[in-house]
Amino acid sequence: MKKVFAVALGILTAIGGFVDIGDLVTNAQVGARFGLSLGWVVILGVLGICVFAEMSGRVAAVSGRATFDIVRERLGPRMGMANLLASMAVTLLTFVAEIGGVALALQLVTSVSYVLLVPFVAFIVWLILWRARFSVMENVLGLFGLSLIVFAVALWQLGPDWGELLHRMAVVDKPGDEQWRTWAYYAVALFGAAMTPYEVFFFSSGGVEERWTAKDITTMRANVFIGFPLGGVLSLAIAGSTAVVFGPLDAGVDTLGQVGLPVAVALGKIGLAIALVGFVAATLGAACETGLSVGYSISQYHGWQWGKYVRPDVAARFHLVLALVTIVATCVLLTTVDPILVTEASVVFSAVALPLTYLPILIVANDEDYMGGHVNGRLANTLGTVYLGVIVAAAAAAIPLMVVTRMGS
Amino acid sequence: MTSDMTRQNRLTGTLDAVLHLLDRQVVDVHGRLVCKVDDLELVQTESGDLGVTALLSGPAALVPRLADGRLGRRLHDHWRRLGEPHLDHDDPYRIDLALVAHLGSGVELTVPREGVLVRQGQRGHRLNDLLQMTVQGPDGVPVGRVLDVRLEPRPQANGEVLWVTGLVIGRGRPGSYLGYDRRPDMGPWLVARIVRFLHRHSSYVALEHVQDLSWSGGVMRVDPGRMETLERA
Amino acid sequence: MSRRRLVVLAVVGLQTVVGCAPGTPDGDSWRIDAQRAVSDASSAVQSAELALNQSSEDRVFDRYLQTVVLDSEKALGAAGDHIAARQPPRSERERYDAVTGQIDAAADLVSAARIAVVDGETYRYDGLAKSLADAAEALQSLETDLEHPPE
Repeated sequence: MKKVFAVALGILTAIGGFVDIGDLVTNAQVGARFGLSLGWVVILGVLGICVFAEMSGRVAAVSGRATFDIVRERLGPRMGMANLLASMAVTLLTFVAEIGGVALALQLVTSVSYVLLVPFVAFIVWLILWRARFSVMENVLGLFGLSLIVFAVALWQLGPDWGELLHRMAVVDKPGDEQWRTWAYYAVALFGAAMTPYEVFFFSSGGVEERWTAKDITTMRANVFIGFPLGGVLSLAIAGSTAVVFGPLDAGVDTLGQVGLPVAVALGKIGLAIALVGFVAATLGAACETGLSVGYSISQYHGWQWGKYVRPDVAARFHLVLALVTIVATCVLLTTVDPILVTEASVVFSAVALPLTYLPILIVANDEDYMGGHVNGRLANTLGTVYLGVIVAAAAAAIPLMVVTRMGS
Repeated sequence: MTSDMTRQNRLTGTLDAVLHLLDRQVVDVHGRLVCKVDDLELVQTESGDLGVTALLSGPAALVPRLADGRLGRRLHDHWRRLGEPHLDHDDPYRIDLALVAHLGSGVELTVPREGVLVRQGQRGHRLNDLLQMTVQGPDGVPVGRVLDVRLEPRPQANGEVLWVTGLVIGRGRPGSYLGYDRRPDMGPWLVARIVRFLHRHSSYVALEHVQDLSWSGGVMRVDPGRMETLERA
Repeated sequence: MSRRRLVVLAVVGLQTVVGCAPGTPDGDSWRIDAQRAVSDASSAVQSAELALNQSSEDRVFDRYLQTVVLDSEKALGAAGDHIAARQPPRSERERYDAVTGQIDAAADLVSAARIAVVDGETYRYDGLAKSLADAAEALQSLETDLEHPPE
């Protein structure tokens, strides 16, 4: 059983990257509108995040240095500050959205308006970040978040024409009534969502929290190569099940309630209950991940003591940042802004943060001062360089696409 | 907690100030995080030798580094005005080099972190002043900027000092070599090629061949005949 | 002007030019907006219908159903408000009436469904679902019609 928990960090990181509230709705929307024709983008994103999460995890294990420490060290304080501001915009907006997402999931359970639930959820999140042990947080939320596997079961149960489904994915067969530029916008958005910087901030800092050393590199790799593909599978399952149920209706998906309907169709109340557990756990997990990432980034830029592996009073500034950020998130959500719209807007800022995050990781993973004998091999370097190119291209395309397609409408 | 694979202490050999010291994490003797190295204290002797004597940290050290040239000076002025009533507002926190035990991926101290950051009054100059200078040829034509500073330890009676042996001059910003000047075959191959191509005009100048170092004017003069190609570490 | 500033300006300028949506003539712009509103309305109606049907087969919790229907009601209200506030060009007056009329009718239906759901009147679900199906069909044929410019 302990072995299962050993990969909880990877699973929780993947949950935040692939099935947080923004992805839950976007994947469902994409499935409903485009079928699985964007499936390969998810696969591309999974491979990309695996490459860089492995690198940042290896750096954290061997040298004890987490990602944002490295970003400032290699790029300097000016570029580091630019990255900090951009990635804060993404991570903070996502944190706001996740707390809203937990409230939305709880609304589906209680039918209490989500705005009323926000302060309660924010308090729970802050309590977890302040008091809960890191391992307890990742094990509980990671494992319960895996309940979303019920979407794969539902897809199976719906009995779609597998040949046709996979054919449309392989051939990138986009439904006729959608334009290629909208397709391209969602492709860039999905890719950006799969590789958001807070995933590597969280994963590498989590590795330090878990006190990884060079001996734990195999465990770290298990986390990466089990966690992220699982996240990708969950993504595809959600897209697939909404494609089967909403596709023929020619209907769009933009609320969490709609996302769960295919499971109800396929598996009834039991399946829906499991999906609801998955919604709450995944959004809560993503809230903890993004909240901690804000604290990690700001603390690692300034050199403050951070982390849950020390007593809160030893990392006082870190916990102060977390508390402030939770209060800000609550205030933003109490203005009744749509949490899902908040995540979609943050895609823009990913464009700046992505290249400035992954380039330093790639360089430092080659630096013998940090890595000793564990520098990148040729495979890691080749994949890393190729993906850096893809990331820069996606970053350049993000803003024009967003404007031209009016955010994918 | 830090599992440094390389226990080699960089302070025992030659090192680069920007690449190996600046913006590194400072860790205390118990492994707890202290601060970042925001700048370095530079002291000039009467004979013209330059030496790094202390690590500097805090907003007073970081703010001037956030922008170059005029914008940087304006930012620094704003910072000073924000703390006018405070006597030592513009005084950075200082950690003497004698307190540094080991330099690997981070800077490890010999003491616990309680009270280690002290404002001790401004002495000498800062590395950032050197990095902001324009490097001119003999006819006053700008040749480039200081990208990095080569240091060498020479233990002496009164405290640790890292002496400046020479400067890496080139176009671009300090630290933009990203470490490829020291290790040209550090991977990945494409990134290394691009960085080295962007820095193809860079060279190394020994400190004794630097003339007319003017702190107030922000210029130094270098004889192009004395510029050498960069050596590998 | 320093070279760096020029480069930054050029990049920003290029991105703005590339990113600017091509200008659409007035009639088309209303038509596209109307299409979007009708499509959103149709999605909302169909989601409510689907949820009601699932509830009749006891596959969905009551509170879940309530939230889905409420979301649909909100979406219909937003779509209706958005397109009603837009001034239609003269050639589109007739279709403007059709669009706002149908969306309003659908909104009334969904409100009725919401009332039934909150009050737990499960015997009305089937009838409401059927009416919603008809409304969705009408909206979808209106959407198809909106693909062409006005006669």
